[in-house]
Amino acid sequence: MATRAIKQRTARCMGRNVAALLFALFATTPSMTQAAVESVAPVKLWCDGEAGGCTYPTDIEAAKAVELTYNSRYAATNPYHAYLVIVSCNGGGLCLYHFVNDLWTTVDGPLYLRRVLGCPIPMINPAIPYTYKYASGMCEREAQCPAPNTINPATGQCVPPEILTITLEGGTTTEPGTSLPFIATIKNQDNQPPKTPVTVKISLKVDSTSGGHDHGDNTRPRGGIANVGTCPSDATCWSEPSPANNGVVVFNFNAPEAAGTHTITATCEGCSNAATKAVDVKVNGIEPIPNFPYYALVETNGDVIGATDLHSNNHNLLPAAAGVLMRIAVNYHFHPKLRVLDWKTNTMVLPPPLHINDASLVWGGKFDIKGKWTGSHAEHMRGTSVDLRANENVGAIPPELFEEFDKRLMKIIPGDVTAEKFLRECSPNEKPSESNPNPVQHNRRPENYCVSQVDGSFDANRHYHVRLLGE
Amino acid sequence: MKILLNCIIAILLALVARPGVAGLLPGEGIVRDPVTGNYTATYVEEGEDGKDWIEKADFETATKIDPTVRSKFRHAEGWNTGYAYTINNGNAAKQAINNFDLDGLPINVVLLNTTPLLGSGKVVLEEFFDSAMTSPSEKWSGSGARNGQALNIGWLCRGWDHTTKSHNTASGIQPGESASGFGFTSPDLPGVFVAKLTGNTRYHHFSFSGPGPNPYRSDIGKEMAKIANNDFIPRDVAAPLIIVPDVFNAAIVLDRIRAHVATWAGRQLVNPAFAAQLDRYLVAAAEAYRLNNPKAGKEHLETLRRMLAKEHHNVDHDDEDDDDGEERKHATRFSIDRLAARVLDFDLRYMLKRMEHEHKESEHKKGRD
Repeated sequence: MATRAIKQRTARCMGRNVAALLFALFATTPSMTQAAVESVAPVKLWCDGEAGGCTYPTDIEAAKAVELTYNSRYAATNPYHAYLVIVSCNGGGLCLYHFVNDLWTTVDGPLYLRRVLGCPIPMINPAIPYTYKYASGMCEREAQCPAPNTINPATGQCVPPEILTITLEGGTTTEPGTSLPFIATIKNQDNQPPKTPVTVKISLKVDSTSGGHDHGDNTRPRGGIANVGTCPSDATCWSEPSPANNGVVVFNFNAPEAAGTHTITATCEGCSNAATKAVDVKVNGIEPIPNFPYYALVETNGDVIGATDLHSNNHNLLPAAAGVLMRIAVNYHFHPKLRVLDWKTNTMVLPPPLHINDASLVWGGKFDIKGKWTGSHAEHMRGTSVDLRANENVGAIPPELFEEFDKRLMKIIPGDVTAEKFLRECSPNEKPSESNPNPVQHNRRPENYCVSQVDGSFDANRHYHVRLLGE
Repeated sequence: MKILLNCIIAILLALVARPGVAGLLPGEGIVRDPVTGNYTATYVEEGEDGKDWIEKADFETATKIDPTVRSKFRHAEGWNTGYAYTINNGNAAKQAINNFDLDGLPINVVLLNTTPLLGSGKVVLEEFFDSAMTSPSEKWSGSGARNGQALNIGWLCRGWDHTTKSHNTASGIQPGESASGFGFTSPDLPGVFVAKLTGNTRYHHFSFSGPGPNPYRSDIGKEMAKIANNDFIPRDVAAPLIIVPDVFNAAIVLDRIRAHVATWAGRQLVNPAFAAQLDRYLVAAAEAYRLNNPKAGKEHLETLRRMLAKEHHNVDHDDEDDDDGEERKHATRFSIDRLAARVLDFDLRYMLKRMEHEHKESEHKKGRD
């Protein structure tokens, strides 16, 4: 009787398995759907033959359920105290049973289990089951993990959304015209990278009057980020998604030629903060030219020589260059071959102290004389060059001393080449502009003492440009 | 056919006109005038509005001279050496020589009679060399300075004309003329040095209207700097290169002479075989003095002197010029340059005399003890 019952059960299982296999689909991980519905893919489950008994993820579990049900249902009531033992299952629904009674009669035989597609038991609130929906082909129930929370697929737990923070690492100073690397790192509240790629946005600002540029304005070059040469505004200049889940974006800050303080700001989609980093674009080591009795940095009326409203602090050099300038000043003032004629007394007298015009701005960098962030004067960037007055103003080196002064410069200035240690400079030819499309090209040349080749007028800008360190 | 020919010519011209230097911007280039030898450069200059403009600059070379420099060096009082130079400008020259520079001497070379400029606390603010340097005339001025790397000295013939208030390009040693009287005295011994001579031009740079291209950052600027920096005529002269220490030590001085002589083969002043022989004896002499064997040292030095005498006539005549007599020129194969031989012979004679003196001093001291 018992044997027959088992055989019938196994036969039913076999027949149903065919239908179940036809209905089979691959299981998927749970995901959130819209309108607060929690939806999971159906999974294959093994049945124990009871109503609502297709709930077992493995065949051995289903078989053990059969064993338990049978023994509790029949063993106590049958006269032979027969009981059933499941010996093994092959994972495909074929199990081996061992049937024994108290008459020591044993029967071994196969037990065939069926498998159907069904809804898994929810891990969160398992008392609220999924219901299979034909329309979607999914198992659904009212969401137990409402947005913005999400279910962690690994743990099945409903977790709150990631709270992302961004940090910015990189240097704080760089030289004009160079690149400085930065790393933006995004982490969540667990100090882990974000689980999905996040777009990082970088913007760049510049303190418009920093670096000695008193004329600061909103056209001031900010520099660039990564492959963007110049950021045109304070808005986002460059953005990039962090590569797959590592939360790190690397980029360069491309410093402009003008020195100053720049602020790099990094944000990201979903970040709770903005990371900023201030970078001083400057030539390191530049210092104010020290006072010295044999050169003059100010006029007798107290005005700083060469200073303008655009750049009021124009007397800065590297200390080594300032040392050479001092030697040049001492030589100029005391060298016995460098004497000037005093017309009042008709005697040769010591020349006045050298009058020092533009050197470098406080942090070096581009010295845009006209305050337009462009133009030459390029060699005044590094704290190594200085202009010495050589026109017809008070304190200027007179033309009759040019040759001897040239010789002194060649001997004193370091370097093994001679010709490029200094230049005598005149005003450059004026370039056409909208307001003056055809300017007069005076073409003032140093060998002609900066006298116009057009009308013979003298160039009041004549000066020595001295490369104090030989470069 | 004519059109095709014109096309070919145009392509060839375009190829020829291409700047020969990598990194030049469009429109930039340097052209040498084959007649005058001067250069004209076109270069890009950034205007104040950030736009680029083509500018032009000329360079008048200062090498249209034909200099010969004769070096004299003789023992002066107190173990010093007097150096003197006579410069001749050949008839073929087109410029007057107005610059004679010995730039790049060892920084610790001493010149006698420099004038220290003292600051507060008697700190030497500057050392003026003009008082240590003699010149042919008032028009010439000698000057020098140590620039942290080397001692640079030189003479300039001033060209400023007070009447016209401009530079007189005729000042200096005219073609076909000579000037002597360039000199100084030093305790340091002579070696063979390359002097730089230039002709009188109004300006030894490219004459830019404005600052010109940067000689260190712009490629055209670098090329222009190269031209300007090499704008001189080099000539071998005797100059103080062997530093004699305050406390005389023969082995150290001989080591220094040897180190200097070792550079001569590379400068084609001596052939390698002869250089090797010189080196062998200089090493042996230094070693002998180091081992306190002055007799052997003296023998090695005398051997060296005999080797030099074999190669050149009157090598021990300090006031001789650097030319051998005609008969000698034809008779002698090249083994060592005459100036180099004279310089080395002078140094060896100095060593022999000095060691003899040291020996006598030592004997005298022993006698007193």
